[in-house]
Amino acid sequence: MLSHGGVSYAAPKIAQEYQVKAVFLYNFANFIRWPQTAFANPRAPFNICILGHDPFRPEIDIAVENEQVDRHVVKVKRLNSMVNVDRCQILFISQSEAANFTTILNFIHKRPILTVSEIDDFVTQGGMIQFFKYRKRIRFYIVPDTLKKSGLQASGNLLRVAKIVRHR
Amino acid sequence: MIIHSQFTIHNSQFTIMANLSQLIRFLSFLVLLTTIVHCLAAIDTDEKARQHRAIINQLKNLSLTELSEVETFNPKAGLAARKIQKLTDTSAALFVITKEDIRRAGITHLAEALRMVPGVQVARINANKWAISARGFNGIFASKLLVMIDGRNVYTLLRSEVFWDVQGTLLEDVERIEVIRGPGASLWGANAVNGIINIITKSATKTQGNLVTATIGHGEERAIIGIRHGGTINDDTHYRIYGKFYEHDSFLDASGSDQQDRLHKKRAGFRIDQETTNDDNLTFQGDIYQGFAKQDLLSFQTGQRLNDNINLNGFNLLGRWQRELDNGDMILQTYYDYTKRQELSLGDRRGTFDIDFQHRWQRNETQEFIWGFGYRYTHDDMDNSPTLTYIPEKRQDQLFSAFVQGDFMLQPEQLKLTVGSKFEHNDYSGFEIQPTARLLWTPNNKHGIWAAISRAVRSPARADENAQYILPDKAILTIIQNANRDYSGVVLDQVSTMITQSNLDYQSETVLAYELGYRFNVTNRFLLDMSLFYNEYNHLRILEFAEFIPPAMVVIKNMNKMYGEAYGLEIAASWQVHDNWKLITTYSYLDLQLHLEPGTRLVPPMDSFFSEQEEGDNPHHQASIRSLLTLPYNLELDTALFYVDNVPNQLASNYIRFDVRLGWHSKDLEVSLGARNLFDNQHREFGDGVSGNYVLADEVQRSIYMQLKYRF
Repeated sequence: MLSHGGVSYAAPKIAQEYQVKAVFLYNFANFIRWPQTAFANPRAPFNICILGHDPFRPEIDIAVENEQVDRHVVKVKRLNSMVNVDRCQILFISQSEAANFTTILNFIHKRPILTVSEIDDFVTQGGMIQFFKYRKRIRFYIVPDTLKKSGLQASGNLLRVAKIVRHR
Repeated sequence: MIIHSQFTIHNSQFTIMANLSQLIRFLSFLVLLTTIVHCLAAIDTDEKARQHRAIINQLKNLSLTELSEVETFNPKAGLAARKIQKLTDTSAALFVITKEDIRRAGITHLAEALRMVPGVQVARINANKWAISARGFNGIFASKLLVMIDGRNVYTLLRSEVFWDVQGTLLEDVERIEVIRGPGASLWGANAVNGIINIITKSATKTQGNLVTATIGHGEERAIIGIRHGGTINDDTHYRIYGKFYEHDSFLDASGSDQQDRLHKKRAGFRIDQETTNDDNLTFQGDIYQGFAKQDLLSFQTGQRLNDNINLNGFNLLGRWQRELDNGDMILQTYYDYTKRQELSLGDRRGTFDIDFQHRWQRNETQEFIWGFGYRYTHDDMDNSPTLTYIPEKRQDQLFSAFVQGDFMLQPEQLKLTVGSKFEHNDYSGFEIQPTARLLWTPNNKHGIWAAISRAVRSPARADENAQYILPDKAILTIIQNANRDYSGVVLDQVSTMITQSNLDYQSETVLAYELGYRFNVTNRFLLDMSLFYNEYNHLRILEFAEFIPPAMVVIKNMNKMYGEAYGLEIAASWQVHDNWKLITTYSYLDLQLHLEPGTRLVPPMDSFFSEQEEGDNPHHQASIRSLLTLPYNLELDTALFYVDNVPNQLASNYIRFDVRLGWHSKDLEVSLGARNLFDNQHREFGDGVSGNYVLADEVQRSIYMQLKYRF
């Protein structure tokens, strides 16, 4: 006889891909420290920006609703261009920007912005965090050295679940 | 032979009557169900956004590690469009014992964990024997439960009961125990009449590193030592091996003096899990054990009290291949299980080979099918003794089975219909059909209401058809004499032997179960789970006087001449009062009414085991409250209070049991101090039983223990 239908009281076992990714984005805000210089003023919002086609709607909005990070209210901004990128603390670069993501990364070079994407080779080409899928689970690569160069610091707990990438 | 034909007439009249009343009940149940569903559907149901919010909130409460273990699907890619699978989505009376529950209750034997489950009766007969059942029919040979460890059946095909003394593993390896009360036969097959217990151990990927555990105690387990080592073979392949030593103290008799019923076991096992990136999972696992137990008996042969040694041996090997498909999955599993049990008047060597295949196919967003088939082969070799003979002494049996079940979303994310059936062919009763129909209505993420109608059977076991007891005991015959009943033609003075003769026409015991359940999940912090059931049993087993063979022999037979009804209520509530305090409370009510077919002639010394007296084998009321409190400085204080009503047929009066555990842990060390049954010197939980011999019951005493767990 086989075991069918795993059921659990509390922990969800299955969810939509972008629900999980949205919650990861929100968690990055909590498990990474930004320098004071990343904010225009102490009351400026913490902006999670999505550049290009938005795969999250409305999951990311629900995830950050009424949330704060170090007394900064968390907001979601959808960007069509790089004009206001300086206000972003997290920049998610959508798959739709795959053709020009290296140009985008060069543009925000060393600014205190956490760059996240699911584009292939993102972390080997200068990105900071890249989602990948392993057996239907969401995992991510992280490049601590690139974070450090931009003044960001990832917590040990985050690094523990991540696959760490180091450039030679 | 005239007597025989009379029985037949009675029987057929009875069947027609019963079928009619069953049909009426069935129809009124359907009408009731439809009405409920219609009424409820009128309530505002559009809550998709709220559902999303609830899922996101649940995900936000997970740790990073847990979050990276959540399985995902992409609705746009047409993959499994399933919602988060959780308790509120199950249309059965399910209760889950988590690894945390096991750890914090200081559980040291699998059987003891089941006390936490509403609707399950757990009673100890002596230090090595448990009577465990769900929704009634408890006893030393409680035979209406399907119990599995990692998908391997552990109830014996000898008598359909579970020998709890030999069941076990390293308890730290148990991931969770899922308990379903009520029939689950449509998926799982015969014996899932009153419930299913599914013990699931952790994947080897989750048990890396080394672990040493030691328990010392007084009153129950005297010493348990466990060692586990986990490692990797390559990137995708993990393994663990474990060894365990287990020594249980003897219990007391009613007068408080020590008895001889201790249990001693050695056990070892392994598990290898390979997870390749192509969505294939391979598992290979096995256990081997050896041990002995002692028991006090009244010998059937002499009527004398004596102490007996039970020798226990066994091993099992299991392989499982699981493949994730684009729209479902498939599992192929096979195992071989060997057990050897030797005690006075019972010698059983038994091997079971089983192979099973199942395929789950998500056809589209609204339809999911699961189907499969299986084959089981069992061979045994019995020792015959002067009082108990098996004819034939060796036997091989085969079981063929197939099942299909469909889930249909009648209304997206709200109304789900499940219909399915198991089809089996066994060598005793032939072809059996065990269908189910279930309806689940989840108007939103907070409420779930389900209803089910199912049929299940307990198919005859080897002992029902082939066991022959020869009881020369004068004492038994005196009881017959004094019972003052009409055994026409029996010349009592001359009787010197009572013999049970095999009944080749013995049929399956059947149940038709009606269930209704409600779940209420306001926040992640509060869950209420209720179920109501009404079961109709037919063809239940009794032992009946069959014949007097002059000059001196009385013949009795297993007959299917009892029917009955059971109804009950089960409630479980789990409340996370505060981040560091959780309360879990349960209540169960059960009433079982049994009736003999008219003209049935019972045999007095046996009728307390096989007759309408069985309705007194279960407590009417059971309740429990558990409190899990996390204190500063890594301390934990866990308490549990149990109430069990009296069990009249077993001469056990009601009792209250109080357990407490104080735990402390650092990163790699955990220390627990605990006491069970703290406010009571000793109490009786169940009566004597017949298991090859007449087993004398002992009493549960207060026990204390200390546990150490060290990881490195």
